[in-house]
Amino acid sequence: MSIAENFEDKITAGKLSAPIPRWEIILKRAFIWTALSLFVVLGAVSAGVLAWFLFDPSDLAGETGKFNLIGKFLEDLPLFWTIISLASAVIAVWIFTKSPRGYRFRVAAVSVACLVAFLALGAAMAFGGISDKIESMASSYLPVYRKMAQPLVQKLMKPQEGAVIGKVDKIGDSFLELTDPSGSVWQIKLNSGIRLPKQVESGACLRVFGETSTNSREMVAEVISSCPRGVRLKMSKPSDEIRTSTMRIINYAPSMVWLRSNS
Amino acid sequence: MAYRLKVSGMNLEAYQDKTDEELAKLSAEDPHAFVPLVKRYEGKLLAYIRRISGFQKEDAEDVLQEAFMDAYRHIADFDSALKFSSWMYRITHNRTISTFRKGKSRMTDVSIDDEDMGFERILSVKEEGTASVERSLTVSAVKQVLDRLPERDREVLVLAYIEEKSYEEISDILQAPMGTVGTWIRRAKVKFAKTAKENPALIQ
Repeated sequence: MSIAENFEDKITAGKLSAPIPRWEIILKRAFIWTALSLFVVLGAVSAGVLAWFLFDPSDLAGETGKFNLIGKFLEDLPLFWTIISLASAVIAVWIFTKSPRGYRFRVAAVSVACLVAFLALGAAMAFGGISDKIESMASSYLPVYRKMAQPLVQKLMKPQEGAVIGKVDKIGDSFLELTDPSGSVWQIKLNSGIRLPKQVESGACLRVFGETSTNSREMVAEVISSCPRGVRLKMSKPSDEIRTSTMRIINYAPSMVWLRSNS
Repeated sequence: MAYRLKVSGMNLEAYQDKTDEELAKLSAEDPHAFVPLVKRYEGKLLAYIRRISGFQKEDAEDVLQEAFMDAYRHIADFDSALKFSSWMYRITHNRTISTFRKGKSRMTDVSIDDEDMGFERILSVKEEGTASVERSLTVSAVKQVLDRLPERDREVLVLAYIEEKSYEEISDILQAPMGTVGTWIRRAKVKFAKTAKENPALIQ
């Protein structure tokens, strides 16, 4: 008996199972394309935030030292977005190659196309201001991400080395009042000729370099710049870790300055 | 999930003039439409299974039966942008390779019926540095050389020169980019010639 005859017999005997219904196939394909779209969007958004970090005006202006692109890449927060973006690219490429006609394209070509798309969409988002909002949301809703940002804040808040960051409370002709991440208020004296970043207003985050006083939270500013991107100071609820470490630094600072002036 | 099929009486002759793709579409509604497709491909696919796997006839028939059942079950998944033959070859190919790897079937060598003239086409292949070797081979030697080649090389040579599939069709059957298929074929031809040279007993 031929296979065709065998097949006919099965039909006649009612032993043939019906094909998988069309809606099930459509649902499966819709799931694949939705998953692919989600990873493309996630990858593009991550690439956008990464671009936003890399094109930080406070770094690019060179106000606080030399700009190091590779070093910037390897900082915790940009690295976080790099990893998300690359992981999304790998998953998106994998899903695409498993899609009904995805096999027709070389994996290398699909990967390059995916990365180019991420970069193009990401750059558009960064310049359109969306990346700033996304990063702010990540900082608000992702505790892991917030925790990753803490070392950066601690790195920038070193009064004993003459570096303070904080939010602007008051702006006067020759002074600034800053609240640092621990909630302490700093009086910053502005000498004539000092350059302030553009559009300094109450609530803005500033990074001040200068000479700290030995016995009070006062500072004579030498350089003032905007805070690097990714530093989002929330004064109302400073984390215990930041508060403790900052207080330790502040209490230690006067003796450091004394030692330095006597050495 | 198994769906029980409702079968209505259908005149099979009404399907004889339909193209493969039309029949595939109709099969989702009426299983009788699938019967002419089985008839059209049964012989070709049976030979193909035996060419790439070396299965004996009974085992090859079992594999083919399962392949047709797979195809029928997934008929709604048939992509009309493809040729039905490519889709059916793909399913058969995957089922054969899966069975081959599980070691379910007893192997013989790749050789099949003596009247299988498809192998002669491999002899006419002209590839730099390989033509002289290939011209000196007999049909039976080609079968033996093919049997000694790795699975992928054997598949592409069989598809390209025995089944006479285009690069695009091979790409759809093996689910690989056309450029990759081209590379596989070129590499397989070189390996074919090298294997033939290394086994002088095969060359007359």
